[in-house]
Amino acid sequence: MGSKKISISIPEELLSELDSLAEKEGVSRSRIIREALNSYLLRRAPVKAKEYPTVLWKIKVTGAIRLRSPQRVRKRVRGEWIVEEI
Amino acid sequence: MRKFRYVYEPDGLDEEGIKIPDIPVIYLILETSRGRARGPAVLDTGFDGGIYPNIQVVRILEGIEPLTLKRLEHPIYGYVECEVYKAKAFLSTPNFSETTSIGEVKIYVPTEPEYLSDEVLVGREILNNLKIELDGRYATIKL
Repeated sequence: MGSKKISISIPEELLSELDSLAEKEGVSRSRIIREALNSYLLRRAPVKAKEYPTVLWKIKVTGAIRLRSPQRVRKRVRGEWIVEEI
Repeated sequence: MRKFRYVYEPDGLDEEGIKIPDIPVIYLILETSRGRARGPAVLDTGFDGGIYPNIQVVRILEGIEPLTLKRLEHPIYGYVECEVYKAKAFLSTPNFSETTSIGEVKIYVPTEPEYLSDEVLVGREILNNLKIELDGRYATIKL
């Protein structure tokens, strides 16, 4: 899917916070705004469109391939989980 | 009586170079109508529920309706909203050559992606029904 440039107005304080976060995480302003907008739309999405488990549906809707979160536990155990279809 | 013995996973050193205590793990097979997942799980008495899944375990629940929604305490994240699912569980040797059923367990799937982790946890809901010996090198479960 292609993308389009738009111009938006936001308060200077918010822009400053956005820039700090972008620098800290090493990502672009656009990416943060895209992710924030995705989360906002997801929260307002109609419940009937939902599939279970909700977490898989959210990953699908937001298009996130890698989960990125400072809260994520690092992997300590060596073995991998293997999934088989029955 | 059946006995399963698992070697602890080493957890390296902390920021001060002091060894972090090794991690007791067991090997599980989880099965639903959608699929089967197998791998190592960390014994975690700080987790209130049964199984706290990683993304691979969540995939075998795709399309299944949860039994209920519940907030429960994760040892790191604090209170997390989870959908509760049921799955058949089997204790297994690390190479999955031998298995024994431990019945149905509840899987607590966080509704927010940021609360998923790479590790699968086994909490008190399951641990309290097992006879477990921990000695710092091996976790032994007798059934």
